[in-house]
Amino acid sequence: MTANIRDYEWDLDDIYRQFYQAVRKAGVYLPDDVRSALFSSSELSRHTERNSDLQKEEHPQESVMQNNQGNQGNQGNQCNQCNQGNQDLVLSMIRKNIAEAEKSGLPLCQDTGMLILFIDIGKDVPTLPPNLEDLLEQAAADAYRDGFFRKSIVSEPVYERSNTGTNLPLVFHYRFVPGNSLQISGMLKGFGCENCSSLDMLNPTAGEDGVCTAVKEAVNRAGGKPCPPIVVGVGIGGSAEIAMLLSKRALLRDLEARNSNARYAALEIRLLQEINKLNIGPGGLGGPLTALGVSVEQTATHIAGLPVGVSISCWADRKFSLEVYPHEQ
Amino acid sequence: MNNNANPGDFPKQKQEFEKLEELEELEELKGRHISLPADKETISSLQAGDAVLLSGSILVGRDQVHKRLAAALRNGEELPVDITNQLMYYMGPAPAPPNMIIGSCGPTTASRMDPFAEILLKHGLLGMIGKGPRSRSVAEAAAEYRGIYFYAFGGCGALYASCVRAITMAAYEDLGPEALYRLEVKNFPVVTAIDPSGKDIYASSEKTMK
Repeated sequence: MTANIRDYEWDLDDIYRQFYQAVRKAGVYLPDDVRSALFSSSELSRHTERNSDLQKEEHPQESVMQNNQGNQGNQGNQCNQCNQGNQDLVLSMIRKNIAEAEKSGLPLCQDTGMLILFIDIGKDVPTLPPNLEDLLEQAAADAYRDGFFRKSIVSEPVYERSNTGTNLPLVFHYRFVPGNSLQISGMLKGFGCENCSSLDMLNPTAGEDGVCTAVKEAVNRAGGKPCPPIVVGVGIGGSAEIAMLLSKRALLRDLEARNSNARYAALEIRLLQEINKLNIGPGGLGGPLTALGVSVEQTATHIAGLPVGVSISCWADRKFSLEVYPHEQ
Repeated sequence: MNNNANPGDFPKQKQEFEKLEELEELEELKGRHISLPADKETISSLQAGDAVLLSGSILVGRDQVHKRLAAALRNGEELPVDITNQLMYYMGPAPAPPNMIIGSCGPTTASRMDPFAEILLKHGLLGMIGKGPRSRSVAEAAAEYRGIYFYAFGGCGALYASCVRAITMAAYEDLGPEALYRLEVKNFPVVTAIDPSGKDIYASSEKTMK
């Protein structure tokens, strides 16, 4: 028997309050998983350096071959070493910035982004909160105003480009999931990194190597622009728009959580390792720490295609998630 | 709706990293101060990759300011501010809370201002501060006019707000938050990204995949 919807109600003030606080907090405090990835990163980078040194010793022919490819390879190797100092410096500044934001309550970055929401609706939720979008937009506008976040949204993209002054509208994505709650996840997406998004419609036979090349090319094109160390979201499969949407959704995942499918989990690890050999480095100033994490989301696709979407987040990876339940009357 | 929710502030978190070194104590920045305004002589010894702390006065401008400055120079008009030996910071701040000088104010992507770099350097600008790689023409212009491009740490808006001592409107007031401002800064950390010989840190750290 389906529950009678009249038996349930939502605490709208509670949703407003929780959402408002999540947005305020997201602009100022970096999530724990991103912090851990950054702060274990100096060690990680040295580790990566050592590993690549070891690899050179183990495969002397390979490194000779690389050097024979011309000056480019040589330059890259040299800079990997001379730029290590900049990597540490950039990470020190990020650390100081996080401390300053905590102390002053100012947003981590002046680009407090476009607020992109993913709302997962439990299939057993008997009724949705009335005017949910209005409620969330009101809370977001209040949070941006009270938090002294920059309002960065223009109402129309080509001609007037006039600022709405409220950072509205929000971006809403919905899907149905098992469960009896409403999960509201979101990100404050700055556009330095959003402008580095990419979509490749690969040949269906491109396979894992093809996917890796597409992702690495996207990251390489982005270079220093998206404020590395970056987080990389990869969406594979579906149709074009699904691949992009999955790549965004992948950015929401905890950096330490791996894909539940072992092969895709291994792909995430391979991509992270290969991206961190691109020598883009923190701030794009060179060095081994280019990405803090790579998350892949995959889904069914067509026999004739292999869509690969890539979304990138800057190190200031401002994301949040909250869950609300209807109350029985 | 829900105006009666009265959310107030949000819960403060425990502060991490309370005992971080001061900027001047960091090895890369120790004793590396530059007082502004500086001249070409002062910056001539800086090389791509060198980190420095800037103290003094800098100009702030982004897209619209550059469009106007470049147009004025092309038309032979006098500029509303003297750009000789000045540094231009590419930045659009978040609003300032009432008790603070400025809101979050980190650098914006510099490449959008690439088309304007040459004409400003030619007319006396000492250099630029921003984030991200620049086109080749900017490095060439830096070499020709002995100018400089400093990288400011991307995403570090709260840190840079703590380096600002004063802000004043300098010109183009009608542009609102995008107007031309002047900042007084203290120990403002940057890395030399393009030095006056035209050497570009991004060009040397760039690595092709093929």
